[in-house]
Amino acid sequence: MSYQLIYRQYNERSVLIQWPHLIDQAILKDINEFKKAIELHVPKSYSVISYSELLLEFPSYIEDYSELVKELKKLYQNKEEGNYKSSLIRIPVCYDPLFGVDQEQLCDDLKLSLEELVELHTKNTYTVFAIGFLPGFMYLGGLDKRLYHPRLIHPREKVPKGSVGIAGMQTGIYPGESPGGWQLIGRSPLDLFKVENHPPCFVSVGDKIQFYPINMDEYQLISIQIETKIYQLDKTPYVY
Amino acid sequence: MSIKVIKSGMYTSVQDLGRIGYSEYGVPKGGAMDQMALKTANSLLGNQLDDACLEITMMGPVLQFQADTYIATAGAEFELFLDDEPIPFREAVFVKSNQVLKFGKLKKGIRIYLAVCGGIQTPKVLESRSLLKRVTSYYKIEDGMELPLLDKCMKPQVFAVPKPKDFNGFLEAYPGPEFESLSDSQKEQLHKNEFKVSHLNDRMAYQIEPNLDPHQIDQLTSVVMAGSVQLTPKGSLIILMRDGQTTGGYPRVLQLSEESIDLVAQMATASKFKFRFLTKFKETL
Repeated sequence: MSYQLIYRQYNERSVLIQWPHLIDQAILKDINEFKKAIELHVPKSYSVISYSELLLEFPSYIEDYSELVKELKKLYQNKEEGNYKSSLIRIPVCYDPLFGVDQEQLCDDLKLSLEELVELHTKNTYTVFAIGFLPGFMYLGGLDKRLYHPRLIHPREKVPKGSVGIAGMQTGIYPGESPGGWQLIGRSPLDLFKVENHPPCFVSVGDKIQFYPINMDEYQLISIQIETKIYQLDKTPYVY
Repeated sequence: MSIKVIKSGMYTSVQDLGRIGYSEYGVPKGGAMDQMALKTANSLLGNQLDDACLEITMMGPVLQFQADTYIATAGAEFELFLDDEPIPFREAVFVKSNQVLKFGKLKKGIRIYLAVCGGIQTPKVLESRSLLKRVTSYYKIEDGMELPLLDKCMKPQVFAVPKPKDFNGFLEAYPGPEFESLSDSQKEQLHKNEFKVSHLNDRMAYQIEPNLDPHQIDQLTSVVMAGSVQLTPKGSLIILMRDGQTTGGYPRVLQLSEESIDLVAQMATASKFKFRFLTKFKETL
C-alpha cells in the first residue's frame, strides 16, 4: 500500500511527514513500516508517530532538506513490508467498584449493568494511535460506541496511577498519578511507564491492546509479582 | 566532591541538553530552557557541550563548594559573589573548597546557567541528568542537597565564546503545519500584534496575550515539540517549552526557530515581543 505523503520541514532539525488525516489502521501500519525503514537506513534520526503523521528528528540541523526528502521518498517507495512487527498486549484490569469510582454513574447514564460495561470494555481489541500527554499515556482507538461518555465536568485533582477511564470515544490508562477528567471504571496493576524498564514503556504506537478482567486478589497478586520482578507481560506478535 | 545547596533559590534544577529518543513514549525532551547559554557556560570550562549545569531562575541559590574547582556562568545576568567578593559573569572562575557562591541582583534575563568543571554528576535517568517531573524522582533542587562533582578538575583552556545576540523585540517563527487553516484575520493578528508573556509561564509552556479570534478547527492529536505554538479553541496562544508534552490536540500555528526558543527562555511575565515570519519551508508532495 502506498499513500500520497506530504513532507514538511517542521523546524531546523525535523521533518513532518503526513498521511491522509484519518484514524485508520492501514495508515498506521504504513507509517510504522516507513518508520522501520527509516530506522534501518537513516542514521542518527529518531521518530514519533501520532495518528496520521510521523515526525523525524535529527540531533543537528538538516543541511540539505531537498536531498533528505529525495532520500526519504526513495525509501518510502522501496520499503519492504514485513520488517515491521506489532504486538498484541493483554492488560489486566480490576473492575472492582473500589477502583471504578464512576462505574455507577456511567452504568446509569448508559443504561448498562456493570457486567455489560465490563463485557463491552474487554471484548474489543484496541489500537494504540499515539502515546503522549503524559509519559506512557496511550491514545486508544476502538471503544464500543455504547461506552461513549463525556468526561467529568469537574476534573479530579488526583487520579491514581493505573486508573482506567473513559472520555468521549476514548479509553485509556493513567500511567502515573495526575489530575484528570476521565470517568474511572477500573485499575490496572501494570506500570505503563517506568524509567527502570527498558524501554520505559512496553507499548509502541501501532500495537494492539486487550483488557481482561481480574478480581481484587489477582490485582494484589500481580502487584506483588511486578514488585518482585517476576511478572510476565502477556505480549505476543500481532499480524495485521 | 560536591556542591552543598545551602539555599535552593526560587527554582533551581540540574539540566543538560535533555533526553533524545524517548519522545515516542511520551517523554518530553526537557533540558536547559536556554540551550545556547548552557553550551556557552560549558564551553568556558572546556566541558562537553551537553554536561549538566544548574539552571537558576529569577532568585539564585546559596551554594557551598566542597572541593577546589572552576565555575562559569552564562545566560541571565546576575550579580555574583564568591565569599561576598564580586566575580565576573561569563568567565571561568577558580573556586576553593568551602567558598560560598551567592547570587545578587538580576540585571537581564531570568535563567542563568552555572557550569562546574566536568559537569554536575547527579545520576542519569533515561540517558540524561535533566530533572523532569514524572521521570526523575525529584524535579528541582532543595535546601541541603549535595550535588556530586568529578574528583579531579583541570585548569580550563581559555575558550572564546560568542556573545549572545541581543533580543531585538522579535521572535522568529516558521508557519506551523496548521497555519494555513487559520482565517485571514488570525494570520494578520499573528503578523502584526504585539504579544506579551502572561503570568502562566514555566518550563512546560508560556501562554501569551492577547488572544487571537476563537476557532473551531478540529485537530487530531498530533506531534509537538519545544517552540510549537498552539492555538486553543478560545484563541489563546501557547508556546510549548522544553518540558512540554510530546503530543497536543490544538492546531500548531507557528514553530519558533531554535534561537528564538532560547530567547523565550529568558523572558519574564509581561515581556513584549512580535513574531517575525521566516520564509516558509518547502512543502513537497
